Amino acid sequence: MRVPWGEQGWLADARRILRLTRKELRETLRDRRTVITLVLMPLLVYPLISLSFNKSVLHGAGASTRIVYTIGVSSPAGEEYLTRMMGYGGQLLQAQTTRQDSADGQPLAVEHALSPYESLMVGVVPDGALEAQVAEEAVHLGVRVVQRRDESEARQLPGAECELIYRANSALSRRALRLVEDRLRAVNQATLQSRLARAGLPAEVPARLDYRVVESAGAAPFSLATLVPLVLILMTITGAVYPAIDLTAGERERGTLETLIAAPISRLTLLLAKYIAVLTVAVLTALVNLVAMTVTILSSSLRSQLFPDGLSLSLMLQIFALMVLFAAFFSAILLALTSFARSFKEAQAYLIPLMLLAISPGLLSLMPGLQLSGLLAVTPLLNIVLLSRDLLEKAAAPGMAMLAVASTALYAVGAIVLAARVFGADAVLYASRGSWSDLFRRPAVARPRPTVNATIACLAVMFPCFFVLGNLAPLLARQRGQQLLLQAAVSVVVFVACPALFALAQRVGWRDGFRWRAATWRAIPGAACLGIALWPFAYELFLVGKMLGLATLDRDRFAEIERLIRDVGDVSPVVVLLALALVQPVCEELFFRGFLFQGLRERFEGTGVIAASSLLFALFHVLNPATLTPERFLPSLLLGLFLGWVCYRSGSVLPGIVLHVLHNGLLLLLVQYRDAIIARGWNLADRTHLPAAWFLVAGALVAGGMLLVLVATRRPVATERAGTDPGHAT
Amino acid sequence: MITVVDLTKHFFVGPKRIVAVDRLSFRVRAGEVYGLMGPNGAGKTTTLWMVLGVLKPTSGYAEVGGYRSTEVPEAVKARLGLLSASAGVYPWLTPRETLFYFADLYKVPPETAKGAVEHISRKLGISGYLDQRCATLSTGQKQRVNLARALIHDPDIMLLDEPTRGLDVIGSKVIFDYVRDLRELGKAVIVCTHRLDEAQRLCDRFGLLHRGRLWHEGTLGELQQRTGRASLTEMFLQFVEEDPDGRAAVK
Repeated sequence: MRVPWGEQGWLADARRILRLTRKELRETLRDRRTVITLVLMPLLVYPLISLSFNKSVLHGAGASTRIVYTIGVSSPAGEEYLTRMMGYGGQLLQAQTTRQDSADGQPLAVEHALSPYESLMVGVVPDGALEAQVAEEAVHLGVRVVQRRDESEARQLPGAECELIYRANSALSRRALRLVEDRLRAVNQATLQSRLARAGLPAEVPARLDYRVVESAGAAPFSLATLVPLVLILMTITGAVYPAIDLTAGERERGTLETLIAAPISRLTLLLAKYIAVLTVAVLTALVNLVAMTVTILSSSLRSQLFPDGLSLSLMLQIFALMVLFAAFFSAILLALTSFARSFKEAQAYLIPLMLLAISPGLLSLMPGLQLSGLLAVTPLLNIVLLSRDLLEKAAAPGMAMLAVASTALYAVGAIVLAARVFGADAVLYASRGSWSDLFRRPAVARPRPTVNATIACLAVMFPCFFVLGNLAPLLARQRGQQLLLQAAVSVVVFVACPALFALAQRVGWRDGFRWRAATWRAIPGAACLGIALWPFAYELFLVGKMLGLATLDRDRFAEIERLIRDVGDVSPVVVLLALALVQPVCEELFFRGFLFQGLRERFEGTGVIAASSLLFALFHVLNPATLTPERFLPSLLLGLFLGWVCYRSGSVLPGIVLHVLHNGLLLLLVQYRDAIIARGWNLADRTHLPAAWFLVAGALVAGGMLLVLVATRRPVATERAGTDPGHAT
Repeated sequence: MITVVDLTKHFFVGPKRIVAVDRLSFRVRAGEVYGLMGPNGAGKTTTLWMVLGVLKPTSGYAEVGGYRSTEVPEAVKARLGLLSASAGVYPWLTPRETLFYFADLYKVPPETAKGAVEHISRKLGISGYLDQRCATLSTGQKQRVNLARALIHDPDIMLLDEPTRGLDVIGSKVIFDYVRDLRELGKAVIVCTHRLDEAQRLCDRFGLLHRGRLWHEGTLGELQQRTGRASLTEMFLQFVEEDPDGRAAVK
């Protein structure tokens, strides 16, 4: 046998994945079915959508891109009269503003002027057939003109009785009526004003009307802009479906999957190559669709309706970035699902419910007044559609945008993890022998720690639970004390029950899976010192975050927090400490320094595990269910780093719990005794810096605490290999 | 070179447990062609997949060149070449592209791969259609491409699972000739087939499988002496009649 090629390391792995991706793409792009979805579909779909929009949505059935309203009159004289009146009326309307009043109290709005895509055409039809012509839709509007002979200003504007005949159930007929009516009213008003002026009479009328347009406080009207991302998303899905099936179920059907699985390469590497290939095709599809759609919209009458404020390159790039994110998410979902399938047909059968599921939130997003907030910001697909709509309407809130992006990215990672578990699994390879339950069967032998894949999957489940339950808690209880207890219960469910279920499924023991091990008692005083002394540094980092522009809390939000602080002051200190200083820190420690820490250790060394767990800890504190608080990022990161280090050194979650409980407890006591502190001249409410002496004392305590922890966890051979922590008490 | 010890595999179909391979043990030495014989559903393919490290055994183990397939599957896979009758080809790729792709999967350096592709193509007679899309090839041509794919990393051991299924006489001959070449090169080969006549001409030793259990093991002469039957076909018919449930232990 030849010596394996000398390339090693992550760079070599990345290169190999790219080479494998190139093969997948070559295979996919040579298939004409991909080319059809990628190129031909967008070229055909958008002109068709544009046409149908013009016909049905914007102007009613029967219209073409340029709409000519046909007005039938009963005589040639009537034709001449109406043509003159329409011309003069049009000029008058153009000269007026939206705030002008008409003499008879009707607003003359600019919206009743002709758009560039509309025109009026007056023609003669037999007098007796005027009603029939309108009813048979030969003309949009009929005008029976009976001219008066006694009109004194006949040379300028002959007087006439005008009977307007229209179809009430036709949008086009009603529109033609409105246009003619407005022009005639404009001429009447101008004539009356001129007569009054000539007679020296004032033009004042008993009731003068003013009109002002305001935004609706209730449900907003349906926004056509929502349709743009929805259509783009559906087309992106279409582009990704075929390669996803072909590269997974297709491999199985062709019999090439078993040769792949027999090669000395990890399933994850193979899957990542396939994922990048599917993602590339999906992104290409999104790009082609975006370009085709933009060109169609810009070259048609839809432009002013969809984008009244215009379209910019930067806006299109933002929409494209969202499509890439969505493609990343959906490609992973597709791969996870199609990896289950053993044939093309089976994969298609799986995808039909998925497509229906994908369309449902998409259609929901069309509901007028739906805001990107709270739970909707973490709802897959819906959040991207709403965010794209907000971007198009230039009304996107940065906090919610970040939440939508972060949650979608997390779901994508979760789906890849699931796909990696399914792809090439025994049950897929041996359909006749195995069963699907094999995939989720508990392992026969207990594991020392959760796999990193299970940890990521757990995070993907926890994240939406955190938001759903976090938003529910304030709704279920009115009193602040009850709300605090409910939030504590949410912490137990999210940070303990959820990972515990994953640990159970993986046959991971409580002690090892959550690092619930006895630690040397000498580590506890050190951790306690850190718990007491870290808060000034955390507070200072909070201020640094604000200086760096991380703050999103506005004046109203600060007022809300002030109110909450006052409320907390009214709640029994026992309840406050129990909920926020005991249950919450214990639960967070069991997850972040317990389950998550152990899961990450499968792949990473000590420093990497501490950094990754701290980062996730900080992000969870930023992405609150109620609001987004980026200013909490730096202090939470600092706390996470210290907690991670203590946990790593001690091999147990217990010293970290002491640290975390003391840290939270101390902060809560500061809140409780806020007034007394302010009375001593240190104004927390004004967010001024702490006195330097405090830092000296706190710094000394931190250094002492670290030293104590180091000494307590020192071992003869302090090496971190194969899951052995330096201070792990045995 | 290959050691299989008490290899067992259970599958679950709903609550029902199916024993696909039952405490199977055998050894294959370098330069030896070992025939794993048995009717359909005997557990031949499942055994090969466990040797390869793709399928986890319920108990027991398989060792390849000193590496256990459950512990270091990638090291085991790198030493093995697999040719299966059910293996397909990539219709939109050419044989050349397919061979380079698998060379990359098996971490063969590009320069070495170039030489290997030329050498194997000449040897198996696929040079004429090396740049033709695989979708346009005949069944025999596809199987030759697959054999070339299995040999691209010059493995120490070849696993052949029904390698001649669906092939005509000429196609089968190409495969058999190459298996003989492999033996001369000192490679270990396991051939799984239910075509007993083929195996009789090709293999040095045989393991007769029925319902996941090894009935008999030995050279053709040893088996003839033990059973009093001249051919493998006759031996099998006798075993199935005597022990339809496959309860007999290895002899």
